[in-house]
Amino acid sequence: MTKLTVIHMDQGDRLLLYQLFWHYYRGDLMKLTTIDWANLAELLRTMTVLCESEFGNQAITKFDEVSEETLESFVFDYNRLFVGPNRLHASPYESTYSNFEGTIMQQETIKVRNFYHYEGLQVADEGQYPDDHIQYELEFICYLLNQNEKGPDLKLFLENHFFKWVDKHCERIEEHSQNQLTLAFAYLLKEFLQLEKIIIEGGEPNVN
Amino acid sequence: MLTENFSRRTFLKGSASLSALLGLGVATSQAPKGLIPKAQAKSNGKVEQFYNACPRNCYDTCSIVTTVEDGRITFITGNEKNTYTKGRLCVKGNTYPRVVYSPDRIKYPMRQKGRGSGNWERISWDEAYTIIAKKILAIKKEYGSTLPICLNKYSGNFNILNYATEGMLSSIGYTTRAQGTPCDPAGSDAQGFDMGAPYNNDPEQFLDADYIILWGANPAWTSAHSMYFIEQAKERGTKLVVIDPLITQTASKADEYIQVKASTDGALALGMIRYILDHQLYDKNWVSQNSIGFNEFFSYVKKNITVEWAAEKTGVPKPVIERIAREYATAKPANIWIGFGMQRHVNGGAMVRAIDALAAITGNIGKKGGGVNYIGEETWGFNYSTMGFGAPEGSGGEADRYVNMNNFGAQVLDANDPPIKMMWIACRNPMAQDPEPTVVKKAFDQMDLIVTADLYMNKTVEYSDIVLPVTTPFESVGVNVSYWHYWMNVNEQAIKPLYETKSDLEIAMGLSKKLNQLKPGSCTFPVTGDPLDWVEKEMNDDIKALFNVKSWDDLRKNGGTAKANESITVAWKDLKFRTPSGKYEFYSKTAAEYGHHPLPIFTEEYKAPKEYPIRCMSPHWKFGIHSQFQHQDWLMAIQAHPFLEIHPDLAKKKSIRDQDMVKIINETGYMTLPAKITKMVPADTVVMYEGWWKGVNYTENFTVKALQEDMGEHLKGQRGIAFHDNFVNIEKA
Ligand code: SF4
Repeated sequence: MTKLTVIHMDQGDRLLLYQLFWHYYRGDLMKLTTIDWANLAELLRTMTVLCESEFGNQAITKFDEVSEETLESFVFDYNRLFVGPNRLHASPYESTYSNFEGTIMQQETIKVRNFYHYEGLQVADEGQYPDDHIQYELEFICYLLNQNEKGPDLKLFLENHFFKWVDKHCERIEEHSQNQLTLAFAYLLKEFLQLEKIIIEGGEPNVN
Repeated sequence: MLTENFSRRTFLKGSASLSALLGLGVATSQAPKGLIPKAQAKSNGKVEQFYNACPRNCYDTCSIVTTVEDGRITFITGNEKNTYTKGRLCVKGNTYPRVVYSPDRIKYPMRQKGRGSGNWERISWDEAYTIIAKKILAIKKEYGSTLPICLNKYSGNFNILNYATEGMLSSIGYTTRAQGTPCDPAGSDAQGFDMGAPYNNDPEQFLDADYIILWGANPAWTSAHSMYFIEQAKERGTKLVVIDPLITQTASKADEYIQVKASTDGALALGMIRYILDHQLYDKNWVSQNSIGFNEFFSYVKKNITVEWAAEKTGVPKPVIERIAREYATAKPANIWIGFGMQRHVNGGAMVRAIDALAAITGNIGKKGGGVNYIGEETWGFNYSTMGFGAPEGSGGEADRYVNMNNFGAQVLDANDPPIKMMWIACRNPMAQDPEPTVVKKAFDQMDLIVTADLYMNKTVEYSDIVLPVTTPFESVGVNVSYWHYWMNVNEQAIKPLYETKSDLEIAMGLSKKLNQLKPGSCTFPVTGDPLDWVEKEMNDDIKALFNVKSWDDLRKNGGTAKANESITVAWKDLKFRTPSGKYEFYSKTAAEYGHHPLPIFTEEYKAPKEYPIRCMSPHWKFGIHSQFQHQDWLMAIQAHPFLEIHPDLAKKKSIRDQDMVKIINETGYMTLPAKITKMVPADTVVMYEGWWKGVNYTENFTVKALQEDMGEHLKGQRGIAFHDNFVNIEKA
């Protein structure tokens, strides 16, 4: 992982990235064109710290070089990893990583639900969709990040939840991805996670 | 949507530019709604209990008590009010929370681009209904009827409301149906000829038996709750005899285990009968008062059967046959349980008739604790109101067309007038369960559209165009009864259906709605309805009286389970048989009408071809029911791969050691799997457990030909498959 000493990422950039992932995991980005992806690459290039990181840079390059074939198989690979109908290669639910038995809707899920409740929120179809699907966690993070006074809550949520499992999630994507876009997102997410950890925890980044 | 709101409020350049940049189609997204302000009255930690019913194709049909905390299942257990379930579930049943909450469930309707490609895309329910409805209407237009549409549904979920799928198909017109059953047809026909119907005693009456013969049944694995009563009886001094070609776990619990050569059970029963007749141990009163054709049968036996011959035929020593015959004939009452596996032979029906005759001549039929127990359907008299809407006006064709479920692939391919073009599969996994899977695949190849409704990816879903995600029992409403015990169990909706799953009943209503939108009047199935009303409609006065309940809701409020009254729990108590003569028919004209010998005579077993001298049996696996359960990772963790059981002598002859890879082959197919050397199987037989498909690219049916059993047409419409007359050769791979 990239060695960094100064983190240049303002809150706007961070929010943008969280939102980007949020849209990604909602499935909003399935129909983008090669031009859209190139535009995204351009936007991400404005974030120096990302460009200078190994995996951030790789991800951006991949967005830039998206081919028509990649676009064609994107949705299939995305579904193979996160949606189904087959066994999921990279489950998007926190509890499947943190729970001893790897199932959804466990005590770990309820902890996430309680966090939302504490902030006066809930999943619209609570009970129908697991609360700890990465899409909800990202939406929640955006919500907290957008309000300065929620800094401590955000830190708590990231440290107790998001940071705890998303690395593993990215690893599984890297292991099973068969598509440049799903791989690019895994790289980007993994790199961003490192940066976030530095910002939130104020500590040294992982070095390798 | 929360984030949209705040990003509109915000001045942050990032999020705004992202949306602008990517033109995010949030409105058209398939994603569920996101976070919303929390509802005021939310109270956490709410604990509730619900009654559920295990709807699997299992003798035990358990009543389940489900604990739900904060809207999720935290514990399930057997219902103690049900004296058969007795507060316990089996290993399989105990994995239900995992079945519901595995991340690998099918969650959304999906369409596969390229059958078998694994390239799936999400579609909405509306899109799914539209694709399917348009295809149905196009087929009707092109062929003048809906006969090119074929339903293959069976035993994956026996909730009475699941018959909505059959009802939905009937509501679009006449269609083609996979008919018959792979389970019990030959034996059911046999009992139909002898007594008018298969009808078993309440299994709780094992406690009243003086002597129990489990004949080709392995309840230690397949009916754990019956085993409780059997073991209790044994403890009280009842002798337990197990007759089986395999040394099953049940055999290991018996007082006496008799290893019979497969498919010669009829000879064993007839040998016992000969001994009983010779020694005047039969119940003269019973046969003279309650049967017809006894004399003809008697002379047949005298003329054709000897105990020596039976010993030779079955491999059971003469003194053993004599002793067992004497013990059985003198115990009062003596109870026989015939397993389904025993009749999966070309002479299966004839064998069951011979065993029935044994129970009849000893007067054990119609007795509490006795009986010749196989299967029953006395408690199934629901209204089946989901099935009663009939074909719409202007449907082409005159009636449904049937293809044999047991030879599905070949018969689908043969159906030409009109050809079959669309398949609807529910509660079934034909790609894994049917004989000759390569032929089934060919039949699939001929389809324009294959729709499968299921819980999990499996061999059939893999080869479908559209998959519809279905609910587990815990997410839908229903009512269940058993083909073995005498309880009725309510099934409440304990939790919200996860993701976008729907029950078969909801799917039927949804598709009907779409069909009627596209072409008014094209489907008679109701387009709306509360499942609670539907289930209530299943209860008629007879059912209510039989179970002494006022309504489904009443039962729900009062324990969730009820037992049928004693008028029916002793099979044939009134000795009024449902045969043409009203008596037990040793001599059955009906049998003759179906081309069989009228008497329960000996019928030869299928002979192994020279090149394939080894019998390959595929009994049930302890952690699976057909293709269900075994694939669950909890159960995969116990045993992750199929294996072939081989006797040490056979293994030695073939130079196969434990864990060696073995190729098993015949003219139908081959596969390669690890060997398990064990004395539990005879030396001329290998065993590969049934229903194993996960993680391997073959099934136990790869070498199974669509060889027919001798019976089945009378009561089940079609003959069954002689799954256990599967002859192969093996070699070290
Ligand atoms: S599989 Fe059979 S024994 Fe097990 S819980 Fe279900 S009904 Fe009961």
